Amino acid sequence: MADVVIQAHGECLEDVFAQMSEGMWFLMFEGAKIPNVCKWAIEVQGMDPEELLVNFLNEQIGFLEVEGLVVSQIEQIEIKKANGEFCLKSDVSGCHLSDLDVSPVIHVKAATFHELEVNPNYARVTFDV
Amino acid sequence: MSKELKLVPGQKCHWIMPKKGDMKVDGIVFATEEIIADLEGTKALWQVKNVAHLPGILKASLAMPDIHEGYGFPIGGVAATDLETGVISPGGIGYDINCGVRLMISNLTKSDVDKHMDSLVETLFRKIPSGLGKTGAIKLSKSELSKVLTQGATWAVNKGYGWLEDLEHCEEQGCMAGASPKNVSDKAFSRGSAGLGTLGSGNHFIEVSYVEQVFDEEAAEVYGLFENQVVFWVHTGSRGFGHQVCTDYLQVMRRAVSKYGITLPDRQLDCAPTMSDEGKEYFSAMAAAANYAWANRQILAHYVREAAAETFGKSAQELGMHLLYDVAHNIGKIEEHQVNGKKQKVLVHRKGATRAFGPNHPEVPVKYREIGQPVLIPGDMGRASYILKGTEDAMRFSFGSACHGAGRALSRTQAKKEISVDELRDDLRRSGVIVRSATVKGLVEEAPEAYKDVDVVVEATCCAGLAEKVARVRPMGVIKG
Repeated sequence: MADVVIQAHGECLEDVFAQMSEGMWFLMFEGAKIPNVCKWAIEVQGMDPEELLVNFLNEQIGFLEVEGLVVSQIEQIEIKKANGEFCLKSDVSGCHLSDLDVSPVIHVKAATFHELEVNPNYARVTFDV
Repeated sequence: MSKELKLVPGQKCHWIMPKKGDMKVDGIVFATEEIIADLEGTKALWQVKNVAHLPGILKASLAMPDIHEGYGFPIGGVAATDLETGVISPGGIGYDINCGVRLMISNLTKSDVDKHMDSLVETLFRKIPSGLGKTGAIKLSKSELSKVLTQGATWAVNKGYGWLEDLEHCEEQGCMAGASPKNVSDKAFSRGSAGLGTLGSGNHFIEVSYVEQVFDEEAAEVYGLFENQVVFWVHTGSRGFGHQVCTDYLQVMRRAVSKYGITLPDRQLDCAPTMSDEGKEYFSAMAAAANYAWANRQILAHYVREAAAETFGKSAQELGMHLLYDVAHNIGKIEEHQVNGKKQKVLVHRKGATRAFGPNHPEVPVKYREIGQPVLIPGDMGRASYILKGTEDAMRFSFGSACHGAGRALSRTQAKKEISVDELRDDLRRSGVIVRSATVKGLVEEAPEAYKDVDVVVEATCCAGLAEKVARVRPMGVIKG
């Protein structure tokens, strides 16, 4: 089994999500400097904060696989609850894989629901690598 | 928790975890006492117990001898549910839908290949895209990818990747019925558009091995195996496409659990009644991902044949590179089994478990039918792998299932902490194994020390009656993702 667990702490849910995202990219590139070359938006929904976080992270993994986009920074993040669903809108910056002179060290294939914990100041995610 | 297990009277290597609380059936773990002891302190047995809570589960929550901790289900977990009244759970199939193994034989011997190994490994590494972000030369439109999803390996053969005879030697002939691209998300289509013909990362590999020992001459002859023969393994799955299908349907299942009032001890086990709209839609998307994986292994096998032909200056036909078998080890299948003395259709979840149908089963290829289905068990890159055959007992005890590999002994993180890449490369070369890897870290994570001894796992599988040994092979060269 893939065994990488990341724990993130933050001042609010948005901060926790941003910290978790940073942790995931740190894991993939072992902290290599990722330049801010381009910006793009991410929008996901979830029935609860747990699903929202998993979707947020998996959306970024999808962008990496399909578009080759690597996140350097969460520029802005907003979480709202409407009609019983949680919605997240985020602007992120980063670059394309081809802009980097390093390769990903660890392939994170998915953020999972395994022993997932999310609260306004803390989250714990198990990644399938 | 291992103290709760008791040996089943009259059986060796069958351990029962008696039903209690809300468990709907017992747990049964097929293992030696040594394997059971090693599970102490892990969550694997707890997961066997959790799986026993699934609505409609039949006979028992089963664990193969390579059991280790997974997500929701243990890896090495098998659960059959009643097709009409039971559930289907994406967690019982896994993220990498139809991750599986195929094995090609050849008429080359170890001595023919030894002096060409460096060149063969380099050619394989050059031809086969591996590692994160590597896309293949095959880029597909949505309409063409839809054909892959419904045709599986047949699509690849029709495009010139391999031989028509290959299909006969694949589980499901390399194409699972019931696949529906309309139940696959646009995200999955995007992630699948450039993944065909790529190996991926993690534990996926291409391996060149030789047959070190034949245990069963009759079966080996039927399978086309002989001592010192060189064989070629391909281990990969449905890549990002399968992951996205699983991720998408875990969300569908979360809602289904509430809708149908299902209570489960672990969110990763979320499920829906197999015959509900949600269950049928997931099954059809899962079948589509399974077909993607069969097409992928078919294409990679073609590249392996090309690499061998280039290295040895003969065509793959001249080298006798026939497909022995291709088998899934992360999949959900509708099969007919004996339950309480009656034949019935069931949904068998195999999560890190290999189908191991015994002799005379109609789904075993005609060539192998009297012997039983080939069961392919990759070990690790330094020690050995096995070719087994399915048994009648597997049909009785495990819904025709056996182990799928050695099973991890060290987590990836532990492996990276404890193993030096230089020492690993030196050790492998000293033992005659040449390795190329997309990343150094990837290599260390998959070091032999990171895995249990496959000999022990296979002995336990045979002791439990789930399969019988045909041949043991040793690695000569490995391409890791």
